[in-house]
Amino acid sequence: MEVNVYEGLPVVEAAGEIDHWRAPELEQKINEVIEKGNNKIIVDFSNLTYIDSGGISVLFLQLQKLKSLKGRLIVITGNKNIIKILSLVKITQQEGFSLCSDKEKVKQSL
Amino acid sequence: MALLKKSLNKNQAISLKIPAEASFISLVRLVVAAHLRENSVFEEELEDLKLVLSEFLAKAIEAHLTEIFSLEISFEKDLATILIQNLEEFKPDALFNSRYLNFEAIISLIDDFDLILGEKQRIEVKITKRFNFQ
Repeated sequence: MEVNVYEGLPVVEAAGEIDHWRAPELEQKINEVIEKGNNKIIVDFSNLTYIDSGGISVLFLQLQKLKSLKGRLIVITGNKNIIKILSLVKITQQEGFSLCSDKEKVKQSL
Repeated sequence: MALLKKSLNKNQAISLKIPAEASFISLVRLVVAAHLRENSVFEEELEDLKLVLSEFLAKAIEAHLTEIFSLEISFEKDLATILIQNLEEFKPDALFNSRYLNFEAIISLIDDFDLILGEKQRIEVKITKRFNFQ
């Protein structure tokens, strides 16, 4: 997992699969970014093929942290299955959460 | 190619013995996906099955499953069946304590999730899903 910058915002890029085994790595990366004083974070799942409740739990926990900092969590994915799971758990309806299909859409939403 | 496809469409069960560690769940997903893709099932439906199976295994392992468990995957006509055995003293309550991804909601993605009382009064789990083809 890498951390880059897009439009001045930190981007945590995760590829492959995020399950219970890899979820702590995602949590650590987002924590590092928050600890540096960021309250708006992009998580780029463009190259992610699978996520389960391990990864979902991390997104919920980090969203709560960011909301307490008056921030925002932006997730990028165009993967139908990942969008289906995010919708199923209703994180897409949470305040402070944005779902974008690609980076260009993030730019428009800022 | 036609012969190969015909052969793959027969009910051919695959059996696995997997250490009860979270790091092996991705291997289970890989084997299940590879087996079912040979039968040209719809990818989206396959993802649903992978999710339910992974969630179940993750929760079973979290609930102090420590031995090697066994898993049998079979596919006949349009029906995939996964039988999971050797679950030690697995308690089904462990499935329903997630704050975020409600297990009751995700089993709606498959056709059946059955808890069976097997040998030595141990619980076995049977997951079934019907597929459409590409």
